[in-house]
Amino acid sequence: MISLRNVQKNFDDLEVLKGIDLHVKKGEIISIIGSSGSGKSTLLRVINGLEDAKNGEMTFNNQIYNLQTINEKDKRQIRKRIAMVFQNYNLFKHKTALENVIEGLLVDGVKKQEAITIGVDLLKRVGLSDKLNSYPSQLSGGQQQRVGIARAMALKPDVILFDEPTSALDPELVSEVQQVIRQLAQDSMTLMIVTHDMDFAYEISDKMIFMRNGVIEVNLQPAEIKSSKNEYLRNFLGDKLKAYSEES
Amino acid sequence: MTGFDFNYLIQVLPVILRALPVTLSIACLAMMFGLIIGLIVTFLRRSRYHLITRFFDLYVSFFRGTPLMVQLFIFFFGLPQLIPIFSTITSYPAAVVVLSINASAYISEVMKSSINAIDKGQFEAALSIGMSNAQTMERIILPQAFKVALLPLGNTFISLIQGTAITFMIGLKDIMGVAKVSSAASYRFFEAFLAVGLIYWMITLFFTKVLSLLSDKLSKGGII
Repeated sequence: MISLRNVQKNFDDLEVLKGIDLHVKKGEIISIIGSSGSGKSTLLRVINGLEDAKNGEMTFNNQIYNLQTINEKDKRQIRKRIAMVFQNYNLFKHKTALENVIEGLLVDGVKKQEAITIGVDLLKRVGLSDKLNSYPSQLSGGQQQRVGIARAMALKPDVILFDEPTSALDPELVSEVQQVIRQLAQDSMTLMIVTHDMDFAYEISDKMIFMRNGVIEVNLQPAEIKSSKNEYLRNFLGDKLKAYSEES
Repeated sequence: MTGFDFNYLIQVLPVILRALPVTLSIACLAMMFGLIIGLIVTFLRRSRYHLITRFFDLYVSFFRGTPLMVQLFIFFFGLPQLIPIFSTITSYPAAVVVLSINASAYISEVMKSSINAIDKGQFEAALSIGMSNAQTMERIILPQAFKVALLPLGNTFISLIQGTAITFMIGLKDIMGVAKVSSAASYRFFEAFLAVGLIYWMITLFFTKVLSLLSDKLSKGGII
């Protein structure tokens, strides 16, 4: 579904991505782990065209894009098929929950009535039927993020990218958002999730990618992660690793 | 002709008030054109072409950096010397043009900082659901930026109303112009100018009230 080849990205002198190769199959759930500054969020943002790459190629739905020269029009096409959920939700502050969800549909030319039907249904699926007309400032972080997910689902994308979806949430609100993501996983949605929550990544992923200094160090199934010999990964996991080995 | 003549003050008020439509129409027209030009200038200042950005930064800098009266004189008395056709422009449209341009510089400055005040995440979220840059501006950024800008824009409008006072210098019969003529005819300078001052003050209080009601109403949605 998505193939990346030799994706490179610099912020001035800093190399953030040093030639990423990655293949994502349809229906696959991939979590990307690694310490801050390892390039994992940047990788998602490059896929979504929010950051320009210095080099590299992306194949998406059999279309090949040169990430160095990709134009705005192609980026827009990609974004309609690859949705994004942000760490800080980034809901449109002047729009209600429902308006947030249907905004992308309206821009895409869907009739208002039809868009509202879709939006109401999506908000019901994320458990927010009673918040249709609430503004973001009237919602908790968990509720806002669930609206964010519904907004991402609205265009029926092929892939949803999650950029640390629960990192900004109070601990007690994390599970309601994770529940919604689990639901998506069960519906065989293709997901890429940047996360610091190892347990969640371990539970939900088909593959776990460990990034370090702009490079994919490890790309393994969760079950193989604990036995990985990669020194950096073992260091990164630390205590988690002990917990896993005690479990098994 | 010494001392304070309260009766004259009462008499001259309605005379001056008759010119109120001139003052208010100039201010409203200038605000309207100022908003249009100011927005265009704001977008041009965000252009990726440095030459355009520079030019319009200069535009804003000049019109904020020189007195309104100087701009009015350059336009009304100065330009006809270079471009003879300009001498046919009467004082009313001249006042509207100069005040509009002057206001556009201030409005551009307000809009620029209001747009900058909008969280970058709002742009990214809009792009991420497939909006173009123009759609992002129109549907997501500007509606929020205008709310941030409401009070500063209100201040611009109030300055504009008071700025109209100097248009009498190019012969316009606005409230200041009428006050000037009345005072000269009666030698009751204090009363006439006090009367016009009170009128400006009342207009300002009125629009301040309207603005605060408007901003209360907008913040009801819990937006900013």
